[in-house]
Amino acid sequence: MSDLDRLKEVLRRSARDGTTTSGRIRYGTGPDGVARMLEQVDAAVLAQRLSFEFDDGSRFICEALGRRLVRLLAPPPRGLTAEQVALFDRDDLGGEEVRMLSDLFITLCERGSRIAVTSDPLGDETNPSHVGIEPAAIARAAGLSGEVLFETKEGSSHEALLDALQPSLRAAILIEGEEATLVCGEGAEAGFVTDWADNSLEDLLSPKFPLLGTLETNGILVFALPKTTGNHLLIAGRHGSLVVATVRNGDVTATLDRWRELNLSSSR
Amino acid sequence: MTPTALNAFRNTLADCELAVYVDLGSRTVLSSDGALHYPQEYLDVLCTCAADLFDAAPKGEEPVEHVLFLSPTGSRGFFRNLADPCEALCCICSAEVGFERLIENARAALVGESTAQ
Repeated sequence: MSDLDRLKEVLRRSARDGTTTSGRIRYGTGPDGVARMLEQVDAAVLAQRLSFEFDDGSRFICEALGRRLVRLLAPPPRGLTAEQVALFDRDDLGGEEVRMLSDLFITLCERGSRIAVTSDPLGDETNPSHVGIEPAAIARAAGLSGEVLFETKEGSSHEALLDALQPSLRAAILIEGEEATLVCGEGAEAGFVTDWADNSLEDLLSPKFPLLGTLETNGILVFALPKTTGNHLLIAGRHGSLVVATVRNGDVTATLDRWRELNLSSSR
Repeated sequence: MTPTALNAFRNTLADCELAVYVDLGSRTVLSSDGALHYPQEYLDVLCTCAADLFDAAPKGEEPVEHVLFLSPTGSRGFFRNLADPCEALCCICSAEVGFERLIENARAALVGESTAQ
């Protein structure tokens, strides 16, 4: 078995073990919803059947392979134009359908503010000769910046959290790889966060730290500092990037609830 | 805290799957109570995690009281026993746990334990 085949087998097994349902995803605007849908396509390295259910109950099903959208599956959701419906008859999507697909995605995402995503591995059912369309091309046609769409996801997530914590936020640094950038705060408040990150964060970023993987992928850790300090310290991770911040007042539950609103299923 | 005390604490929360009382200095599990039987290695990892977190916590005149962790798949709470800062109550809960209640109940359990001693 070649290394590539071994890797495929690992990924295939991982897909089977993991996520038949990834929960309900909240989005703010139509284009934001399109970005969330395209992220699912971008994550489909092996063949996946992706099902998106919108707030109005309509369901959109497609197949993705090699991080490309290759086919839409009938029946089409109700309320589409004839041109959009015709996309569901195509056996293999190509570049000429990009504009129509972006319109279709926007139409679907304007039906609500949440999508429930179900992902099922297809194994060897899908024809590997399918060409398909890169999600970035659809993103550009939808008015999103295709080049930065997925790269900025982590940053956007951290920005959303920091925005939600205003005006209690005192200082924050963003850590991406070896680079740390002070994004908020000054003076002693910024110094406290920077010093702590320099001196102690490394211990938590050790492979021996049991929560490292989850924290870096999508998690938040909050240190409740003594009440006399009137602050708490948080570390939030998303896809390998970290934000370290201090927040005024000791209400750690409010901080965790903000993070939960932004990152976890909003269906409950 | 005895396993009985940990069980009483866990029963105050619908979402708590495991509660462990640890010695942070020696990194030793002192007692545990869980919805399932967890192997010792699993408890040891939680204990190590607590010790790592309190070691890395910002140092001031007073120690950090608790550390909370949340991810889409679950949550962890680490509560230092303020009467004996070398010991801590650790618990594993669901991602939906109410943190306010968790903190209150953990603090009450630790105070009750200190009073009992």
